[in-house]
Amino acid sequence: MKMELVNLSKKFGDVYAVKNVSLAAEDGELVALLGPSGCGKTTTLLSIAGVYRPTEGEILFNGLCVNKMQPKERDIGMVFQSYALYPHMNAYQNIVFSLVLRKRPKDEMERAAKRVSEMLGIGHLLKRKAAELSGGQQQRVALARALIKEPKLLLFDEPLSNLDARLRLSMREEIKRLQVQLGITSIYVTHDQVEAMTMADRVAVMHDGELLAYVPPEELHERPRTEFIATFIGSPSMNLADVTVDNTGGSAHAVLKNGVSVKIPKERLPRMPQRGNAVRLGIRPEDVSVVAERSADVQARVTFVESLGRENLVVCDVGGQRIQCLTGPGQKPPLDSTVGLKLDMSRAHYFDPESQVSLLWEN
Amino acid sequence: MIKRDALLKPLPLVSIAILSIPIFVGYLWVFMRTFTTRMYGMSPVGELTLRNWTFIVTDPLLWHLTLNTFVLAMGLTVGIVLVSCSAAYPLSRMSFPGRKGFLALTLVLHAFPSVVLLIAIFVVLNYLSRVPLIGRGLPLIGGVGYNTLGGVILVSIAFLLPLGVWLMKGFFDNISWDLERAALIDGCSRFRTWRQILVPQIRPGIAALGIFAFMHGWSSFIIPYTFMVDQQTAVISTYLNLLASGEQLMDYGVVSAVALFQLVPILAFYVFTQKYLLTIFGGGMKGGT
Ligand SMILES: Nc1ncnc2c1ncn2[C@@H]1O[C@H](COP(=O)(O)OP(=O)(O)O)[C@@H](O)[C@H]1O
Ligand SMILES: [Mg+2]
Repeated sequence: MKMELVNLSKKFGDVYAVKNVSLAAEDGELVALLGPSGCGKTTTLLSIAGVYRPTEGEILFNGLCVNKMQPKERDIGMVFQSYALYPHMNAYQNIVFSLVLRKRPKDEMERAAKRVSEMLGIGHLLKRKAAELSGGQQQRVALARALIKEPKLLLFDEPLSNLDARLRLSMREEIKRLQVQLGITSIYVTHDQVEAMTMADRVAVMHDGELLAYVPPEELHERPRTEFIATFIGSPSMNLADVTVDNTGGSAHAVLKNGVSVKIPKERLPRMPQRGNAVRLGIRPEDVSVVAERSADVQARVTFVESLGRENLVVCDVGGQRIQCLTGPGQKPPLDSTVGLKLDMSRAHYFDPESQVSLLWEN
Repeated sequence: MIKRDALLKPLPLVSIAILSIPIFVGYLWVFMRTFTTRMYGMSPVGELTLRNWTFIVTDPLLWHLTLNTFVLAMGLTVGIVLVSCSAAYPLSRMSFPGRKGFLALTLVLHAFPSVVLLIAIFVVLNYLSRVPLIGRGLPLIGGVGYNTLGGVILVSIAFLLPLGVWLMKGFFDNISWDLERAALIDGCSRFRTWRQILVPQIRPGIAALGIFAFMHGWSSFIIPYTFMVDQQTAVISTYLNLLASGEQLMDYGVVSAVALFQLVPILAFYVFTQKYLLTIFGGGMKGGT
């Protein structure tokens, strides 16, 4: 089913929790709503579910406006962060509750429950109460409860954030596998960018109730449209430096505050901002490498080194400008030493310092 | 340091024990008095007898009063639980104009001395008595007007409601919103969500309130005393009062025995239900407006 939001807004009192959000999820697509806590993701999701009534705008299911429909008429399944299993019922009763409400015959309920619980590997747990299940098992029961209705749209509200790291990884895979296998259009709310990037077909980045970008994950990482997205996506986050672009004499250079200039490849030359030639250069830590001083672009002093396991995070100071880079194992320069840095300028980004939009990618 | 802690630990218990001595001595006296013909101070000097207790087999009135007392306590319990649970839900979950004011008002009413309202309530009950059908002539409770058991139940419920509503609201406040949303999406109506999903979560609260109300109703005096004129046929507590203040010389032995008779069910009840009663104080009171 195709789900569309058209200029959706939701106000609580005088404050906009969601502001003018428009996006469309195609049939079978998994769309991630990504953003920091409090940016309006849950509000958006609950509006789609019909729990909240939008203040303005429309929600369309297959082109049909569902604003006035009750949640139960919308053919949706939802999985909550807190699982929200009914504590006084056992797993089986939880799973079939929606069918009980629809007064389905008993054998149909049993067949449906068997189908979804086998799909999720919880067949042996059906007699247990919610409190007698582990977090991962509760989440599976919650998922089964959402799936038994054979919904046209699945809504997830940070379903994995209460699980431990390893379980989160395997549940992530499993949810994605099920979603693809069943082909159910899904909206997946998360504040974890890795989750969004690995699971989603398209990622909607939200900030303060507004939709900043709605693109496939690779594009979000490789072609960020604004400075906020560039720094929000990727960890450790992108380095930013104020530079001026010197485009005289055949080849272009980015000139740092301390006068050091780095050559910009022709195919990566940014548009110039409206006024002046000052731009903000962005470069990801993985595109900066520590090299021998003679082949380096800039000289830098090491101020901090942190081991991230496989890699090391080296924080350097380039004439007052802080630059982070990732180095391979074993490459761990001592504190306060001077090293050479090579910037992979073919992967650099440029932003307008005033409007903060990208000078490389069209909006 | 450790030694001092060990000394301080039993201190609360010891002080409670000391402070309870007068109450305990009082009950002891009552207990002993029922089995003797005369007491001198704390010592039974009369002959030992069971005569004071013969009313249990010889006095049908007392059993009638016990039934009345039970009906009053049960009526109060059922009424308060039903009304509190249904009123607390919207107060906890919905926003409507006047909600905050209503909550504040009930709290003020709770703090208000109920004795002040007795005369006004008399007027209301008197008026209710004249309503056909429900005013008088209902089985068991007699009706809901003046000088009926039902009227007393009605007034008792009203006086206990602020406590009940606030208590139940605290329990509802503690239930996660997601539970309700899940039910809504599964296809529950608001009423069904309340009855099938939320009320089962607050069962400990219902038990606590119910037990509290029952004990309150069983031993209540001022409301039945004021609104039931035929105190011979009212409840045990008013009958006790009658015995103790009648024209004849007061028979301490019988009064004590009746008092103990009234106490026994409540004691037994308390022993079996104190676990639930304690949840009122642990956890139930959480949650704001
Ligand atoms: N029921 C509500 N009443 C009032 N304000 C709310 C309500 N729900 C959410 N908000 C506010 O709306 C904003 C967005 O909340 P939410 O959608 O829960 O964010 P997220 O899920 O992205 O963390 C927050 O500032 C929050 O305080
Ligand atoms: Mg949220």
